[in-house]
Amino acid sequence: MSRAMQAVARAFRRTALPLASYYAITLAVPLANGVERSDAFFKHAALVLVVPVTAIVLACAVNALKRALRG
Amino acid sequence: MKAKALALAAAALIAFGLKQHYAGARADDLAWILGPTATLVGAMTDATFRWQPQEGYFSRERLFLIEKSCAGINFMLAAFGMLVIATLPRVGSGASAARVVGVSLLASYAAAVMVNAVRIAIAMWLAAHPVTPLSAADMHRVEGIVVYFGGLVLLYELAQRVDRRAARVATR
Repeated sequence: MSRAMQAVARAFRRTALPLASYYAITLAVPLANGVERSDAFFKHAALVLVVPVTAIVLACAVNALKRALRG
Repeated sequence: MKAKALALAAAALIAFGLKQHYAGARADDLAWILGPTATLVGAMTDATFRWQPQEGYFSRERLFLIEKSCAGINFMLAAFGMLVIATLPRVGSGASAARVVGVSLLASYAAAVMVNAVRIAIAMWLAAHPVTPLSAADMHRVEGIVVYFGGLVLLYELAQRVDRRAARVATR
């Protein structure tokens, strides 16, 4: 595995509990409560799923860039 | 093992109670979280928020209302659950279970007020400076996700640090 992939995997391990808590409260709880599966909910769910993952990958990229610039 | 189960059961009961309270609450019932949040947002943005009965805190000059859906209760619940699970290995007795649940509840309340105030302050700035190709509603949603998730990650890191320090002190 490349160093970049290892860093991303490490970041996901490190943020697993916050990510799980966030997904639980924003997706699992409403689904368990029988929220209406409308287009609006699916759009909201897609954003909730994608944005944190993108934020983690972006944070890793910024970190790697910072390290590369430092030499 | 029994103490850990006790801590989890107490946390689940509190979370359920809070969710039930929130479901039936009007803005007036949420003054315990809306009030400090509005004060903090006012300090961050220089806006003046005044209480509007049954509505929330309203800023006349910014035309911005901090109402029930802005209370940050879901963030508080996520933070509370996360903190209880993160500190569960520290539970070894009934007293430590009560301490873990109590401290997690207080910390999640404080974090909810702070993180939510930051989210609202950024939302107010974004409303005044529309800079992205996203619609205002989508931008507000993405900003909320980033701030809430970022807040949970920071809170988790802080809890881990405090926990490590407490463990070092205990083994000295």
